[in-house]
Amino acid sequence: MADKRKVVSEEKSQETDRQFLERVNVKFLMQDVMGKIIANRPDDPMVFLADYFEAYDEQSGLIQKALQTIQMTHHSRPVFESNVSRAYNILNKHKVYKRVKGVNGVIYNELLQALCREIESSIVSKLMNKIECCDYEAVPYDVFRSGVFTCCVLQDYCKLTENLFQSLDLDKTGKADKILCDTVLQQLNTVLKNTKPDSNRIFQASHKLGPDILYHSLERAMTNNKGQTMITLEQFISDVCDSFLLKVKPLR
Amino acid sequence: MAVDDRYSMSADKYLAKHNILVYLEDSVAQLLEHKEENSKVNAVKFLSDYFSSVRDGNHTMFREYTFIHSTPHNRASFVRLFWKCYRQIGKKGDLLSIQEYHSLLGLICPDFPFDIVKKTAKIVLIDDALDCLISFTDFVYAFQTQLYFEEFVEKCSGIYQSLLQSFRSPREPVVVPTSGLKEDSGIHLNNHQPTDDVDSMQFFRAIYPICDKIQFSSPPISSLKEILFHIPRISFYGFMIAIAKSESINSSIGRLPPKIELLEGGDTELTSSISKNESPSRSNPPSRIGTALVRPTVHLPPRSKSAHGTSSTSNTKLSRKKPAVVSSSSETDSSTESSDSI
Repeated sequence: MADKRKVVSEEKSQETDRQFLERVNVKFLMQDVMGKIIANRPDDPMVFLADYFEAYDEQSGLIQKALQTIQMTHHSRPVFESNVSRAYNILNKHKVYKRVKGVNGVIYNELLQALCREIESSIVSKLMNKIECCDYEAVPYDVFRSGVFTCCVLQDYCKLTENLFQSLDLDKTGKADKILCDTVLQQLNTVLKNTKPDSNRIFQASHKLGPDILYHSLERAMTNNKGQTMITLEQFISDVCDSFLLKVKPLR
Repeated sequence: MAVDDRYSMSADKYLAKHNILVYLEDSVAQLLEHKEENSKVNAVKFLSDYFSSVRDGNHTMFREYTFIHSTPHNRASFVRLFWKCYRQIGKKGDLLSIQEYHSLLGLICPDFPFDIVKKTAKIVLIDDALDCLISFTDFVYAFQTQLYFEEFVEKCSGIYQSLLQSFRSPREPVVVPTSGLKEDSGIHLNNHQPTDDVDSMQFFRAIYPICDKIQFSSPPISSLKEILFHIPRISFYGFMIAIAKSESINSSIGRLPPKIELLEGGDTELTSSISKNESPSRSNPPSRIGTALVRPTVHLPPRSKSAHGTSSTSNTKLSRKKPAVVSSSSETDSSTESSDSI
């Protein structure tokens, strides 16, 4: 008798566990997160999982959710495209007036700011001058997409610039010879002048920035001038980013 | 390259590599357990908290040993937890017995097996005198080696034993999958008495195939080369100590700080007081190494001859038995002197 009761109560608790999981929708959550983790293949899945559940929490804002969705994967991955459109849909819930919802300038600018958190603020403000929308404007998807994409590329660009500076900083003093930096910058600018998306030109450009040519021009600069002017990392990044920003088309 | 790797492997492999299913399953199990006590739990909030603690490595406190053992991330996090909880002991410079270490571990993991503690002590104390006291610094790095590389350590031990066997009786067939093994051991046998160590190049060739396997974590090959290429012969526990002391291996695991920062700034006052405490107690070379301010590369047992010659006479008994360790201890002495002079 007692055994029977025990079994029944066990069954009951089993049942409530399942009911509980159904009630709180854990199955859906787990399926969703598995699907996303496999699609995006993050480098560190633990960070990804933590971010995912943090953003899933109702209390976190739309921006936070959109940001998490965009940053799920690198912008060179095919999934990036669908992530961005999902982020756009998330932001579509933004309330503009009482009943009007949609992506407007306010939330778009906020998202871009959040995306550029790691970049120097002076550079960000220059970038925002070009790609930000007015607060009252409605932001169509293609503008949204290109804005987000620009921010992601700029972020990578800044990281690469930092690496470049590290290799120019011969004595590891935190400062590099101005002559060397200028030479690299000059080379970069001549390459960037080419505006036609012609595969031949692109090939030429990458050749010009290849190690051989760059080495020769650096060597020439070294022998010609033994200047002692040094520049800092911030200065260099800002210079190099200026040439990037030249390529960003202003919205208006 | 690694980036492409990640995208090209199959989904199952990717999930297995990062033990994602372990954590997802555990999160649901924990959620249900938590629900028993608190029926009004917010599931999303709970999961969010769970995964942020997993990310930060704070999730192994009071968990059962099987869970701690299940992934490399858990193991490394547990070692860090141990260090964080009991750092004060290290600061005071207390020496503890293995039973005491086991009870400390039992406070943060109730069913922590004594076996692991014993194996850790074997690494520190070179496989004998298990009733010796061990300094915290030595223990924590050896513990990391034992727990994090458990499978690797087991395999290495097996390989070492079979190398030793083949070395003692060269006529027996060699089990280890390396070519040119027989000739090597044959040559050595002619002019050596059977000893406790093996040719380190030979050992490296034998363990090379088991490194970088996906089933378990192993130290980076470059660090192993660093250890084994600079010394002609090595004993198993000499090898283990070198792994435990290698800063590059420690930083590749990435949880414990380098040795000099382990006790938060090893200022000279602290160091000297520790060594004072230690000298009357049974001086075991490894624990002295642990507390001294030494650069990582200096620790490796190599450069035997000169160090051997300078080592004090009190160590001769040991030096006959385990040359590798004594040489490293005498190097420590010299480097402590040099740091004093600075």
